[in-house]
Amino acid sequence: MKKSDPKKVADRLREGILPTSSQARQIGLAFAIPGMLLAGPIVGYGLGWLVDNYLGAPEWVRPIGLLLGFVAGIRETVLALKKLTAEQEKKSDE
Amino acid sequence: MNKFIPRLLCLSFAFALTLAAVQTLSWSAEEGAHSAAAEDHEADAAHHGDEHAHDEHGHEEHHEEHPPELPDVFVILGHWSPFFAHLAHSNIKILFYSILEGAILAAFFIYVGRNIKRIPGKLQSFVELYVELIDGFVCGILGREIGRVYVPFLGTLAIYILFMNLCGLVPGFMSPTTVPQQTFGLSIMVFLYVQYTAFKFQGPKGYLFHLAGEPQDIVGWILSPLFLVLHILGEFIKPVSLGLRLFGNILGEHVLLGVFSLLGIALTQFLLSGFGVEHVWIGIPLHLLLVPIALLGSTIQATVFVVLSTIYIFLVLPHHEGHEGHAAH
Repeated sequence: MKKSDPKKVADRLREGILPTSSQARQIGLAFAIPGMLLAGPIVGYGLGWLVDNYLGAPEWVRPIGLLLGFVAGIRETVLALKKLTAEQEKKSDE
Repeated sequence: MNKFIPRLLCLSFAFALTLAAVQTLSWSAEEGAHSAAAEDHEADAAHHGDEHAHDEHGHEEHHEEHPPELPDVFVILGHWSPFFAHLAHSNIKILFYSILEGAILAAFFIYVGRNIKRIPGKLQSFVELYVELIDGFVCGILGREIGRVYVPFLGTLAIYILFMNLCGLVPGFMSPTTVPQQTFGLSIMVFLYVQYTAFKFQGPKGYLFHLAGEPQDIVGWILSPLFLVLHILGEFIKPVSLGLRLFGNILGEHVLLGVFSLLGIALTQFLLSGFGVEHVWIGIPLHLLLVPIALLGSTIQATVFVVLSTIYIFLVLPHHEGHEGHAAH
């Protein structure tokens, strides 16, 4: 298969070379949401624990990490939902 | 066609019954060896005093803390050989099964690839069906131009995970996906590939700008450090959720199979104890009821892993700057 220049492909992506809505894409985006909500606080707390244990930060870093992880999980969920909504709007436009 | 489905059903049932019977037998063998080992420890306690026996009992309790799963070859041989006993609880066993199962898959696909015919046989048809399925699915999400680049990676991932999940149902084998080292290893690989894709299509500056929330005004620039932290955290959430989901589901399936198998042995022992039978070497294969659920669960988990990997690649691609672009940020 001939290799395309990534920059040219990126430009075409910005112009919209994925015009058609895809049911697989919508299902995949929906699948991603629960995992992000669950893993967000876990990752945030884990990073807080690492900072606390290895960099000697005070203990309140862990709940801050948990909160940041929770917020990051929700933010990723909202982004996925927006892409899902955009896919559904694209499908209704077709 | 009329005879095919009944034949297939009979074969599947016979296979499942044989599988269940052999698994029960192997579990009984382990239980028998286990109780023999326990008797030896009690004899040691009587000879050497309580302290030594307590240490050994503690050591045995550590092994018994592992959730009950159907034993593999290493675990069974471990009751007669200290070498296999050491390997049975080490990472070398996981590595061995990962490589063995990968090698079996590779050998199969290499064999089929070298014997391609114009009119395909059964094996070639099966492989072509699988390749078309993965190609259609991945290209449906990423588009034909970009999707074709990722089909080999995602297709290999899917069949490898599915095969590893299903190998736990084969007597003597284990599913490496029941340990977090394997599942997180796979998810870290996907994470690294996703980050490489992001750098390839967006460039380092473009990717950093994307991570900072693509600020357009002064408020956006002020909030960009917070968005940077949140977005980086968000990127780490993806491999953790992939690995944790696969590990949790497959371990849960195999623990359930182990518990039901033990239940079958206990039930048989209870039923036969009235006839003066002290030790049972084969039990009722109660876990046979769970094999279809395990087959379904293994397939679903492999599918979900690959679907999400494809979506994570899709999410880092530059997107159309229409209402979708503004809505996303």
